Amino acid sequence: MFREMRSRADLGASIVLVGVGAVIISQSRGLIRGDDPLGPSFFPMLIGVALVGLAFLLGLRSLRAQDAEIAIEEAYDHAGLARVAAATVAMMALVFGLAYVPEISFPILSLIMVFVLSVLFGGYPGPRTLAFAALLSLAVYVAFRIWFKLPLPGPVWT
Amino acid sequence: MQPQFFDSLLLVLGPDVYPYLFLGVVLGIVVGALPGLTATMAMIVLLPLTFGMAPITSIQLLMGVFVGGITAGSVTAIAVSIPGTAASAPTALEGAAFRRQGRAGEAISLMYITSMIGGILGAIAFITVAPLLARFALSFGPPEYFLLMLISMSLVVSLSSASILKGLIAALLGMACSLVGVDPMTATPRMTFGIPELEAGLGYGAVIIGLFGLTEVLIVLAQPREAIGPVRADRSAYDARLGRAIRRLPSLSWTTLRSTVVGVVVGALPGLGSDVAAWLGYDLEKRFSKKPEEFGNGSIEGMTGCEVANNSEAGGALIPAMTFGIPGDAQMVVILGALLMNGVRPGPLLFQEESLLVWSVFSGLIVAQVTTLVLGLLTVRPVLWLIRQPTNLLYPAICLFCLIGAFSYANSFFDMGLVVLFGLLGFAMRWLGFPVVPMVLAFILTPMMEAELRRGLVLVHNEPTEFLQRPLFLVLLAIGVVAFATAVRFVDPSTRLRVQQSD
Repeated sequence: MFREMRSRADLGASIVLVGVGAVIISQSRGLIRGDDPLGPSFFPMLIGVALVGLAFLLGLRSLRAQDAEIAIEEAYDHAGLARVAAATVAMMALVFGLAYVPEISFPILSLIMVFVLSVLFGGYPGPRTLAFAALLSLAVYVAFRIWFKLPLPGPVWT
Repeated sequence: MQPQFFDSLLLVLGPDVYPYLFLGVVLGIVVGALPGLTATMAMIVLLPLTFGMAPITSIQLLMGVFVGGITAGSVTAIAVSIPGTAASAPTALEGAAFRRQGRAGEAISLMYITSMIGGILGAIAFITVAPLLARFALSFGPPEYFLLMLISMSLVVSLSSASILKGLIAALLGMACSLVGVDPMTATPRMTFGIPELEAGLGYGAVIIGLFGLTEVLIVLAQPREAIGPVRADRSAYDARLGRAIRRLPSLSWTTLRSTVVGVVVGALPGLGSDVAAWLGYDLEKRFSKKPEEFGNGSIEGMTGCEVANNSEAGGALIPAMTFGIPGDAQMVVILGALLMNGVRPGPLLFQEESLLVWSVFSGLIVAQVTTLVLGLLTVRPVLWLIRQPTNLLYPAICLFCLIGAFSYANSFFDMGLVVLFGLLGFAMRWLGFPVVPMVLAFILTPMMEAELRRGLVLVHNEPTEFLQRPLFLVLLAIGVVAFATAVRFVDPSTRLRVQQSD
């Protein structure tokens, strides 16, 4: 059963990789060569073609479940994958928040992210975790804004 | 003794450099001892802090973390049989027996001492071999450099991937990522998809931090909750018995010598790393031992073989890294990344133009080893207390540092987003069985490979068959084919699997 799961995953990966290779090939066409012996399109074209070929081979091998590639990592359960998805959303929320809504300020956005991640890592969603998140966010903000002079969006009084 | 050695030693021990090396060792010991955190992760988090530092200072900070982390990983390996880093896994096999026999503290003391000896011997190997190789490498032309990098990538793919097909695919992905940006020779935008931020290319920082730092955090997050938690150490781990440990050293001299050779050779081969050195050192001692039945039952020889090999590996890994700019493992990727971001290009000319930097790497390695020994022995109790603390607060802090680190390089929120994307990509790759090291190595080497190939073709007037008329090119080609064929034919999948699962 595990080999079948692995072969389905390999098949899915091969389809995605064929798509990536096709995109690379399409991007490399139309690059002007000039006097250069290889030109800017040679390496991308070579990589795109090789990627399509190897991905195709991976897909073919996955169709024979008994040839499925060696299982490396254990299969993660749905809860684990859900935690990873939630963590990704929390981190991207920080990035987009800082980029597009800087008025919210770095300390508050990072406090929210650190609190959410602490809970995802098994922490109790209580005052202690919140206090840690607040302390860490403020310390990082002060250290990087003042010591390293990074232009992190700050609170309204700065 | 070379005068540069004393100059570099004074520099490393000076007030401008030593505090950073000391800080690196402290962080390395803390991170290395904590299960689930790795020396590479700590180096990744600190990498952005090195942007504003002088190259010598940034290398000493990162090497301090590297040495401290690799060594201290064995503290938990002995105290609770959980290796703090993959390179301590063989020591963890002996850990339970040491505790049963009430010798955990003595084992920890001996581990620190033999690690220091191995690390210093590895550093001596580096400073002896690398300058000779650099002088030889001066006769290399663009075709030879291109071929050398291609051979290195092939070796990494064949040695560090449980599946060579997936390793090749990972390398191609890394190559594709490296080509995003502007073509260096014609200034033509390539694979930018009309996004202005991509014209500067994908930053080293974002890619390395994402693939090596954030990926590891996401992998820990995906594991079942009971796998993430504090652990408790055995009482005998608190009893150092330093005198007994020192009295054992003379009987371990041949073990030390053999394991040093293993570590240096493994380190010099791209794609293997300190954990392969550790296992090979352990296995070799089992073969040579007069008491092989002790292995798995508290063998001091086994532990020494592992620890000497995994520490001397650093000296071996520095040989191709500093001589050719080819990193052999994840830690060297970070160190070379720091050099490149500080405008220092490793290669044979480095030994002539920046000899003080090269000697300071040697001196720094020795000073880091001694500092790790002293600090390590003094901090056994605090470290064992630390591993009892909940880790749910550490990983969010690491995430935050990864994101801030990516931002700090170019003040770019786009780079922060790239870190998250590459973190997710690295997680997906590890989950699906694709190795990450070939991808990062390809990402670093491909721009140089492309430049050398194009320069080489100009040299031979666009006739690639003329490469085969260069004797050095033919010799390298023969070596590369034999090495690749040997790696594919004789390295068994379990070794490759072990390498792929490590950092």
